[in-house]
Amino acid sequence: MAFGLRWAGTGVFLATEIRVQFHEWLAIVTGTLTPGALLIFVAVLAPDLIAVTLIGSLVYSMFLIGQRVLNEAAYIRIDHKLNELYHASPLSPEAYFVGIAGGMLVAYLPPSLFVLVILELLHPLTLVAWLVLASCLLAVWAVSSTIGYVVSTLFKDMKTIWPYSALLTNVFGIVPPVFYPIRFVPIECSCQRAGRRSS
Amino acid sequence: MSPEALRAVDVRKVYHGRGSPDVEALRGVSLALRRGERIALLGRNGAGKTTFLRIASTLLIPTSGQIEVFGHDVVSSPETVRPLIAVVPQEGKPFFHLTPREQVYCYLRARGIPREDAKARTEAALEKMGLEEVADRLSVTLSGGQKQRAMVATVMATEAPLLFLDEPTIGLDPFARRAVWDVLRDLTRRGCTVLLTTHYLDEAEALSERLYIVEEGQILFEGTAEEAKRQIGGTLRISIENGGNHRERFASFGQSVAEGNSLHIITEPGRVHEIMDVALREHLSATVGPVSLEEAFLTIVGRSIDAE
Repeated sequence: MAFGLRWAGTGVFLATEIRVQFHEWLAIVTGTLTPGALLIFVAVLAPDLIAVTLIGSLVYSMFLIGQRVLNEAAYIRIDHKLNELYHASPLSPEAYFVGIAGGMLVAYLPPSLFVLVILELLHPLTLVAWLVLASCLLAVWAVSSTIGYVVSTLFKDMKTIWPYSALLTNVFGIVPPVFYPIRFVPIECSCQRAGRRSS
Repeated sequence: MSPEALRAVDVRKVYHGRGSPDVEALRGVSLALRRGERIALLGRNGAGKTTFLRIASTLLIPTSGQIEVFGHDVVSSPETVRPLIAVVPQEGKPFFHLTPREQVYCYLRARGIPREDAKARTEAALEKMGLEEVADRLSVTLSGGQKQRAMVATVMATEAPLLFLDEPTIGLDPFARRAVWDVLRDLTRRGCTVLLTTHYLDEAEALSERLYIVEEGQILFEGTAEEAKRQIGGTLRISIENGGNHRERFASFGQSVAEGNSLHIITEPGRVHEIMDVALREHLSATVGPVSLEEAFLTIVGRSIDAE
């Protein structure tokens, strides 16, 4: 019963957010530009890395969807004050968060599905690999959305939030081995050096 | 069940600034709203009205004190309180990429109101707020007043037993303001209780049955608009054109305020004759009118500022 109460209204608020996002279809299209451009670079410069980059593009897109939660939650709270309308209502904070995060996921998922189709055409995956990939992508979305939502509550001004959004996206989505294989990260070298020093 | 819609006892709120001094927004506010009442909170900017509304609507935790809504504590039982309230936030805007019809309907559904009921209430609220013609236009294309009306329609359609409205008519034209007043009166007739803040004193006078004047986080006055006016030493105002230079001549008749070249004297009906006599003898023209709530407000808040 308690569980039902906490989540009551989630579906409706999710539908509201999806409706809002689909009215901003241009943002959905432009959201594909960065991963799309990186895919083209890799296809031209290092075609043998294209499978990794396709997966990287999916991970990046999922992270980006989470970061859109940051901007959307902050926009609703700071610019529209609609969070007050919803928080002072039977809709629970959990339902509010899931509504925003889920709305972003549904609205921004179609470009990622397109990448999945390309991946399947170029490098067919086994069922297990698909399940692992899907689980990882969902985990990235959940973590990124949570980070985004928490960060959105820390500031009182949209202009302050924009740099943090860009920072998080680059730190978590571009710098780590998302678009390139992990073997390019000199972890072994670092470990060996550290081992030699300690001995 | 509690006979009061809201009871606040000694509510205090201190905002702790990061690297800036603490701000004491509320300093022991106590007030009570009976069911079905329309109450206005008046005060200057930063007086603490919005902080009080935010605490009462479960959006903020008080530093100390207690607020109960229909007998439920807003801090310990927010889940019980929230279905009983609805809030028009200050400077709130509807979702820009929803139409007013979608905005009202989606909000009602998110509150758990069944589909058919939500549809009927949405149409009724849009009609009452005069939004039928723009009901299917995206809110981003609406005027500021239409957006505000969409927000008010959203909250009024809930028919929640206790409505908090933080400056609900800001930016509305006189016709739209009166439409909001009518809807609020209708809601209270049907048993809803309304607590609103406003800077329009004519609105507070026309709409509220009682009012509280807040200054620096404290309640300075509680009562009706008429009682507020009586607090300032008279119910009539005599305005004397070019009377600014004759202030001492009228000093004995009551409180006087010079405004430009004019002199305003607040007095009781029994002394009007004497004042008019003096004005005629001095060849000054004078007009008599009722004291406004604005004058009462300025006097009550002004006294408090002077006392500091």
